[in-house]
Amino acid sequence: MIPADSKEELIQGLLVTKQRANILEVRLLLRGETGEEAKKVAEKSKALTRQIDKLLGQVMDEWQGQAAKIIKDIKTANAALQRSITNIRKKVQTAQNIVKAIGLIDEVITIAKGLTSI
Amino acid sequence: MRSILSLFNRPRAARDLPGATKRTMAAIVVLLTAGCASVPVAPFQAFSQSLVELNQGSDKALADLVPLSENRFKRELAAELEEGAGEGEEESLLESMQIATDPSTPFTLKAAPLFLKMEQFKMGVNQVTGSLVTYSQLLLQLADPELLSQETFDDLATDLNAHAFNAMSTMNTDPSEQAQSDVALFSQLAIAATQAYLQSERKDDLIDAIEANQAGVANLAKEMQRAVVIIAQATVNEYMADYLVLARKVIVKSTRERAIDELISLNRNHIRQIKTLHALHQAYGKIPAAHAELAKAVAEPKRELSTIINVMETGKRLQAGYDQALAANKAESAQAKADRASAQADALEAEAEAAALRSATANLAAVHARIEADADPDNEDKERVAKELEEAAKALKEEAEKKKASARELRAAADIVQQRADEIKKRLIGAP
Repeated sequence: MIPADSKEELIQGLLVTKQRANILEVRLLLRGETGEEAKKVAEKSKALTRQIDKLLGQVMDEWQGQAAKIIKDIKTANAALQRSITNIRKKVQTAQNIVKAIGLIDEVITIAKGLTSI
Repeated sequence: MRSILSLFNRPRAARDLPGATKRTMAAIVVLLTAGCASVPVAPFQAFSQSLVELNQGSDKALADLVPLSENRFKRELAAELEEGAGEGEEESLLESMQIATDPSTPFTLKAAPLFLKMEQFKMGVNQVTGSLVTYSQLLLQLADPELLSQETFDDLATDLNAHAFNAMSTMNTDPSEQAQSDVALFSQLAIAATQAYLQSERKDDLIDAIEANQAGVANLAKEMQRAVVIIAQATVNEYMADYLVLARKVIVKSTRERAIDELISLNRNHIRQIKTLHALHQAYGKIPAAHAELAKAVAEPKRELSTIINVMETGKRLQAGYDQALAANKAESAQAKADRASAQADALEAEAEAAALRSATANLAAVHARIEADADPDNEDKERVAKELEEAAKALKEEAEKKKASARELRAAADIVQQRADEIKKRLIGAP
């Protein structure tokens, strides 16, 4: 199997060939060469396009296989970040709860003080 | 520093503390929170915004490309059915339309036509860039001042002070001024210490996350650059196919004028697409450096963030460029539809003309046979031939009239489609 990078290089090479085939066909048509020669070039050009299409389809498939791994890694990173955010939120909440608890103790002391002074 | 000093303004018991006490408290709080300045949020906002724009850029590039490839497939399929498959082709395009399945599992999609693969690829690209956008938004949440809101800590200091002061008042019926100050100082220091600790933890978490994910982000950026190369190659592939169709039309005199305009428009659009894809490729290349800059921004909040700013500016330019390209493609697509309708009308008009010719020829033969039959009234054969020819001529005339009416209707419809295409072109790209 050709590595992905090589396939992209191959596609690039085929695109350049396709560009030359286009120029050749246009030149033949401009010269008024009827049918046969230009048609032969057009046939080859069509085959070239099919080949490029196939390779593009393959690199797209391969890229998606690679992408699945990347998505997994980023999702793991995202989960860790979410934990950090939740952790800090929880700690702020804890601080608020402590202050609330001090307030409740404060009330209890006030009530107790009231009772002892009766 | 404003946020730390504001702690002194809010608590009720601390409001009227003597100047010397306030200065001492300020010094302690400053010492306690030294090195724990809040995290700068702007770089995280800019980074996240840049990624959203790059995500839209790659998404739009593929959104433009899929219909171009689909149109080419339809065109090539129609041509293949007319002319037959090319020499040495393993399978016809019609065969390639059947999405193959795997012997071991029904969940694979093999060997689909390119435009269908592109749709899958578009979804994959979107998932990758989407996950990166989510990552940047989570970084932003962690850096966001709202997470450790100053108001929350001010309120906590106020409440803690009030409770502690009440408790002290209850226990001690005559609290001195010094005791009031001590209570206020205790509340503020306790809350400032909590805040400083969380601020420091937030900074550590941010720096840890950025450093831990640097390699992953660099890898992702590299893969996105590869994706952009694939998109660019697919774009060139579609351009070359469209160029050839138009070049052939330019060579034929009857289709020349419009084809030249379309060729110019195709080239303009292609240049724009390739330029924007190039910018997108470069911008993804800068993402790892921009990401690394975030950690430096947390460590040194006043540091200049040149890469992030650069990526953000590219993102904005891309946005503008893609909007233009999208408009040009929509206009091109509308014109392609009008061309197809016009070609169908042309074909039907040609058929109607051929039918009219056949009808006129048959009519001429029938008139001739009628003259012959009338000149020889006793000849039954001549009468029969004349009648047969008259009937055939009548049938051909009806057929020709029907075709002419259909051609007229189709031409009117094609004119409306062209009119709409002109309106779309005018609205989108200001074409005359």
